[in-house]
Amino acid sequence: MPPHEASDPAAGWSSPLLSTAGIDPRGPRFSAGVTTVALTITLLLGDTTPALLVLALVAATFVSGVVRGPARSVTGTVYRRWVAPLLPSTLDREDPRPPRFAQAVGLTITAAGVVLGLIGVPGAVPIAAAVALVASFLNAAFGFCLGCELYLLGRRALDRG
Amino acid sequence: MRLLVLSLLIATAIGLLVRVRDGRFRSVSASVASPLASHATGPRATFVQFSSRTCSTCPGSYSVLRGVAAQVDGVDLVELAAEDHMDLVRVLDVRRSPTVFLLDAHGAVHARTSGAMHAAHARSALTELIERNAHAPS
Repeated sequence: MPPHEASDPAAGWSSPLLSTAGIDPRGPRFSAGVTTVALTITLLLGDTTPALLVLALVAATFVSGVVRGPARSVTGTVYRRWVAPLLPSTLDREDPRPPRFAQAVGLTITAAGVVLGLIGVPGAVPIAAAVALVASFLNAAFGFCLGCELYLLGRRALDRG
Repeated sequence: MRLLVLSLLIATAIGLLVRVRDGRFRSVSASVASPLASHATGPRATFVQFSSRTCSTCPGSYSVLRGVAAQVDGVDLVELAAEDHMDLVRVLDVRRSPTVFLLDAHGAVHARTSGAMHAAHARSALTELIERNAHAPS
């Protein structure tokens, strides 16, 4: 078996800044897939109370991801207990901090939709669901973390002020 | 329903664009005095990677570059935490992590790229720099 460069910390090739001793990177990707399905359902339900409830459920799973970390969130736990055992095992590990930050971005968007929806702002629920869907679909289908991209731009904006 | 289709189309377009652009080095006019000169530790060339703590692709990019640098004599790889070098981040207009700069022996920026790294792109940018130096009058 050829050595896999990215997953062999013993070779000293791991980034010194971010630890590669972390979580199975397929976990956050699975979570993004579940989120994508839930947000699709939200959008199919239109600007209705059931849509608001589904969006609130998505926001709640983001809360669990931010508080407990991506591996111990609701969807992360489902992945570890029931999905990972069905997949071939991997030595790949990723730092849990990036997906945790992305969960916080997701929470901000979906919670804003839920709060504005509860106040009765028309269109708030579908629009929040659509924005979150772009991010979760990119993560699930392309492995691209849109929320993570916002981090450095945010830091630059804050530093200026 | 329209919103659903629109979101998925936008996401797919972004995803494809990112996939095409990530890791492609573009040349930088080397006459610019480089604020990275003090990090140019490689006798022939140095890759400088700006990483951040919320960056999921940074460790992968680092190990790809590590592999490329290890194959060529005199090439170093330096990783900087963007959060700890906000002055450089602003001067060099770093917007994403990882952002990678390829420096020549004197620390001038030869090329830059960002996003997921590809060994082939990194290797060809490095080869181009080394060949140019070989032909340049010293």
